[in-house]
Amino acid sequence: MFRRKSKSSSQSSKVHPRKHAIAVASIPRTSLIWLLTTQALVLLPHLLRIPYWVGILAIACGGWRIMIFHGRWSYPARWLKALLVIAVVAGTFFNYGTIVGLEAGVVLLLCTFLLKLLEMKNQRDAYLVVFLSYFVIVTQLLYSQAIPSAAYTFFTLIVVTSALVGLHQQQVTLQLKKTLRKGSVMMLQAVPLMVLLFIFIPRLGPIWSVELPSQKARSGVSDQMTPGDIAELSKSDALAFRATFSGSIPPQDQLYWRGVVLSELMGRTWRQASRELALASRTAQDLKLSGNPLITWGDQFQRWPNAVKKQGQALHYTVILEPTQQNWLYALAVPQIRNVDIGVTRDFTLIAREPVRLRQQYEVRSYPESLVDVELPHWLRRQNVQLPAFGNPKTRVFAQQLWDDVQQKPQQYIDRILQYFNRQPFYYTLKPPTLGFNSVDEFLFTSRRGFCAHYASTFVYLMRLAGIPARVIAGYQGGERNTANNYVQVRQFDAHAWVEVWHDGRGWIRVDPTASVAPQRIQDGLEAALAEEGSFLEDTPLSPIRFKHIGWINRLRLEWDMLEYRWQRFVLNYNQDQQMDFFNQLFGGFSWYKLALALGGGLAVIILILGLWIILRRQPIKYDPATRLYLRFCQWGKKQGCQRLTGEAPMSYLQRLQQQTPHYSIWTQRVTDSFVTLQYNPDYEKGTSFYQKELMQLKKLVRKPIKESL
Amino acid sequence: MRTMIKAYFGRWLDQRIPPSSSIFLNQKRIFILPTRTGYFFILIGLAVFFAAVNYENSMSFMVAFFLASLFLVCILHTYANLAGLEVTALYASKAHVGDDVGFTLQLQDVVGKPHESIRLFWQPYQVSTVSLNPHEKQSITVFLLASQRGYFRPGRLCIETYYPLGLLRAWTWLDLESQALIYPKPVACPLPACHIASSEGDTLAKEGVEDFTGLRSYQPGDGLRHIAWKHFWKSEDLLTKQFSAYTDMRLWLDWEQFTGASTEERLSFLCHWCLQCEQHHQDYGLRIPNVTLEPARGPQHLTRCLTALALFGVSQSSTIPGRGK
Repeated sequence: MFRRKSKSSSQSSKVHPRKHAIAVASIPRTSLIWLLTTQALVLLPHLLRIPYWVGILAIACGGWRIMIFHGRWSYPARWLKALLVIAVVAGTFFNYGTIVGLEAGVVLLLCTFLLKLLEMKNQRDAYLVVFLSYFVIVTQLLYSQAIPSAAYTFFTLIVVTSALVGLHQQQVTLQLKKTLRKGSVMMLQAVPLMVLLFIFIPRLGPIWSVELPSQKARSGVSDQMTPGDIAELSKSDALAFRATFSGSIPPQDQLYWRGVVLSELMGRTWRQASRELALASRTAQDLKLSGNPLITWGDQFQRWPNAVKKQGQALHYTVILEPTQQNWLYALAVPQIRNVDIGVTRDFTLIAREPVRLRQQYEVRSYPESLVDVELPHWLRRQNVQLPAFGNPKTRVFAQQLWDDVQQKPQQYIDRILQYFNRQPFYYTLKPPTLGFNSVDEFLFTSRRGFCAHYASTFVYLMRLAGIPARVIAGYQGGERNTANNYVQVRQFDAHAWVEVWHDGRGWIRVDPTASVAPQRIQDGLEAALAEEGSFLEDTPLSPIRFKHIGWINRLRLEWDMLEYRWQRFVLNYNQDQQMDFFNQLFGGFSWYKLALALGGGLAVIILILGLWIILRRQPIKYDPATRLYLRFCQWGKKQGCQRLTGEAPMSYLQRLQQQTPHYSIWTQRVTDSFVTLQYNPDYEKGTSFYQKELMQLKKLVRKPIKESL
Repeated sequence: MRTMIKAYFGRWLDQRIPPSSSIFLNQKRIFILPTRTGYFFILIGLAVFFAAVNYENSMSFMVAFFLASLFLVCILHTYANLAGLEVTALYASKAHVGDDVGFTLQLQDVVGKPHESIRLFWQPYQVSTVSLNPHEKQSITVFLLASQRGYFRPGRLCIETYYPLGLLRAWTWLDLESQALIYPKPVACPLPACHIASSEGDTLAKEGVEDFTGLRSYQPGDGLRHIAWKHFWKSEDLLTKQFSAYTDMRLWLDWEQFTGASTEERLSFLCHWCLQCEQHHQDYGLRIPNVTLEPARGPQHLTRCLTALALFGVSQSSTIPGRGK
């Protein structure tokens, strides 16, 4: 950065003197104010995320620059600048353990941007600062593209553009309004062109792989479940995904968004049965290349023809999933997918080829009435009846008794257990007591307090004790319905765990033991289920979802959700696929020729309109109030048949006018006198009370011609 | 090669923007191209675009496309900032060779638009900047190094603007048909002493009223008292009696005084002494080949003398073609 300086000065001596003149002209003070404002605004959103010392550096550099501006301090010496650069690089390394990579790179970029303050001397440096600002804005957008962030970006772009305008204005004083106005006008004029380019410029896939900014933590349902996990999720009101149905939304108690199938119990923890699958998705490699036999990237109905019997109506919907850093995707039962980058597992859940690092959109058809695994393969049965050999002795006895009671009829066994949950004093709570080693025993007979994970795992445990294949499904249940726009908004607190039990001849059937304890949880969501306890989102007292009962806040929240949804769906997710769909709709089949025509034609039309506006728009001559009034008087004269000649003095015009209209001679005399006084009498300076008074007088006179009787 | 291109460009320019004393700037006369900063800006836009592609970041696409759009909009604004001006040559100041000569122009907005930071120059080293409000009229003087004696035509005036964003430069070259009279550069030298005083024997005399020297034919304006009426009665020729006053010790600045010097040197020396005499309120006359100016003093006389020196050896009609550079 500092080397560039000396290089540029040696270069500039060679260039043409005129170019030289504009390049090395020093920065006017007004421009400096613009540049400092720009830097502050551009930096602001970063400050929350980056190490604190960058903030200190910002204040120090800004302060120093202001002292230079006042002429009290001089530019720092060369050794000091070198020291600062070394310190910054060292600091970055200390914080991130590297000086390459996105996060460290952004910090270095910001520091370069700040240190530039200390050697910003001529116009060329000013340009560099402005152009760096654009980069800094873009790095911020990599972290957040939400509506507030986008709006702020829009605002900063106006300021940056205005700063560029300020650099080229010939002015001594700061004309804030004028400069900002020009910048805003240019910005707004650029918007239609920008939108056109955004829609029509063909999108490419990533050219080389880059490190994506990540909230390192994974979110959403995890691939193993220890009772207690889902309670953590329930504390968050963050959005998990939105699903838009092309028909009407199915009833709430049908909305079971399957994520992961957990069939293996190890101690207290439920896991995915397939080690391969669990490992593959945890090492975050490209699953498609792994050739896992439990995943199909094509049509599962062909791959496993005996496993699933497609029947009933299809539900057609589109999901926009927030980044989870995990592989699995959420869908209603028995999904069918056409996306080549999404696979279907043998458990009929969806899995993405790579962990979801960016918001992902996918389209699904689900056949909820289909039968799955009517013939249960031996290996799968073994997986789903597996239990630890020891532990929970009371439960084992209890299960044996119950199984004998119902004469070993599975359906009755299930009903009896659900009844048990329902009739005994079980409570649905997010604050269950901690359980010991024999957790199922404790839960069933002592504490009887818990939430979906407890009920689901206990239920599966009881099933397997009776030798009935059963498994835990983790995912989301329900969601907030927006019937006007046909979408369901699922948040983290909608996370849920339920059970699938295998029936001979019917395959896997969904059972939700939680529904027996807290039917509100399924019908009305978590908030209703926790109404008594009051623990719904208790750690986030300001979450707008807590204020659902206040009408206008809720309406506002829903409107905002709606806006965000549209923003995500139509703007942020406008990628290659979306673009192709759009082109297909628009042109009835894609062709380069039509695209070029649309793009070129659109550009031409917009530029033509802008050109006519910018180049042909005229501003009327602005006269001072006295002249305006006098010109009105001249209009009257013209009507009387005596037009004032260009450049004719008021007095000589008066003479002609009086000859033409003798009846008005006193009036015309008074008007002319008044005007001449206002224009030329030094006592009647603008702003004095004399001036004001005389102007009022003239106004009154001009309003109504006075005819005198001869 | 370079000169050939330049000559070709000059001919093309003469056809496109013919010389005129008042020129209105429109699309026929304005050129517009990106500046170096502009190219750099495009590069930045491309960099943002590739970042957007790789990070699959929609808002970064927006920023990249915004930069492209801003550039396009800037073309229109830069053009509009220069278009609609009327440039008229008013007058030129007089100067000596090696001094700055100022050409005063009038800029007027005739389309009702503001014009910000308009730069005018004949030579790159002296740029005048002006801003106009809608319908405003302003005079501005643009200076240029006077390089040649005589009638000096400065070539084409460059009017340019970088406003509003500095990404593009709109400019035009105008030949405003203005010319300035350039006097020789004054060069100090000792005045050869022997020629300071002119002797009585010199026939150089000023018309006076003291001694009768002879008759000459009547010219309108001659006083009636001086008409030789006696002669008229005899011959019917109208003659005027001539009187003369000898002007001893008058100062003559003479071409011949500076023997051994080249033409330009002589002119420079004479110029210097004219200025010196004027400064010391001393009458002086000037004698150069084909021109003789009787001794006198005062600004008018000085102007006459300097003009004579400036135009020595220069035919009145000939103009010196020369470009700003």
